[in-house]
Amino acid sequence: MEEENVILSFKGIITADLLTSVLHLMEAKMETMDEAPRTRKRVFSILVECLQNIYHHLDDNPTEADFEAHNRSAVVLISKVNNQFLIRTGNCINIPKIMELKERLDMINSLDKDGLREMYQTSLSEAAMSPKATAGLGMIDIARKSGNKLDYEFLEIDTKIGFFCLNILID
Amino acid sequence: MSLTALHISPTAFTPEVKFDPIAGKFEIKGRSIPENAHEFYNPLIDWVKTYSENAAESTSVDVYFDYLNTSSSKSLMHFFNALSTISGKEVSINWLHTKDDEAMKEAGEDFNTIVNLPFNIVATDSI
Repeated sequence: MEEENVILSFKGIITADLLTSVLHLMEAKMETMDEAPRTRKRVFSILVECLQNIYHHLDDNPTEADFEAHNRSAVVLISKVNNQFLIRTGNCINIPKIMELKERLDMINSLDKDGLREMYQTSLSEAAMSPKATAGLGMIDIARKSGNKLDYEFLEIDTKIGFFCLNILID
Repeated sequence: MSLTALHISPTAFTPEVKFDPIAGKFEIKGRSIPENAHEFYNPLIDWVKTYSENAAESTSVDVYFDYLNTSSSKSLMHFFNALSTISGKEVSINWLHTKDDEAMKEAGEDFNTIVNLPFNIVATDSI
């Protein structure tokens, strides 16, 4: 039977301060749990990338009127399911941006461990060439560290705004 | 042009930095997970650019992280690139990781593949 224990959950507007608090809280919580240091590090590293991804994604749309404050909130849920950590995130996304993100996620999911390493290294060296940050390095890192496929879903809120759900099961 | 030593104390999200321009000994140590890493690393990169005009005969850079986010990895690429512009002098990177830290070993191997400098990955018992 599936057993799920919620470790931490959050719903609201993601700010830099909040991001910091959630990470501090999660780290403190994990210290009290009987987990291998390796697992703790993995979960924490993946959480860092997840939260910073959401935060930066929101940062891309500061002036878009369609992206109002209520759409700037996100959901984060960290739990343990049958002894494995599961991080679930949900955040709003502009509909026109969905296709690009979906293609990137499918690309990442089509690769094995070696393919992911190669894609990461290519993206990292490209990042060093251009002053503008290349998007998606975080997603590749999450896929590499979790050891699982990125389980995602896009929901439609209205004609302009969608909702992006990402579930990361950590080996 | 004289360059003074750089020392930045660690915070919960950023590493300790100790750059000694006379001895050519550089050290970055700790946790690097700020959401906007370029704000932290750009001053280091500027410092290295000035240093490169009058670098020590030999520069050795010890890098040790217990956590490293992708934002920091991008900035580190810029940092290593700035070091690689030092010409006619020795520059080497020592990437340290604790023996059981697979993730940081892997991160070192990623940089080793794409950084154009002598790059040593060193496993240690403790830092």
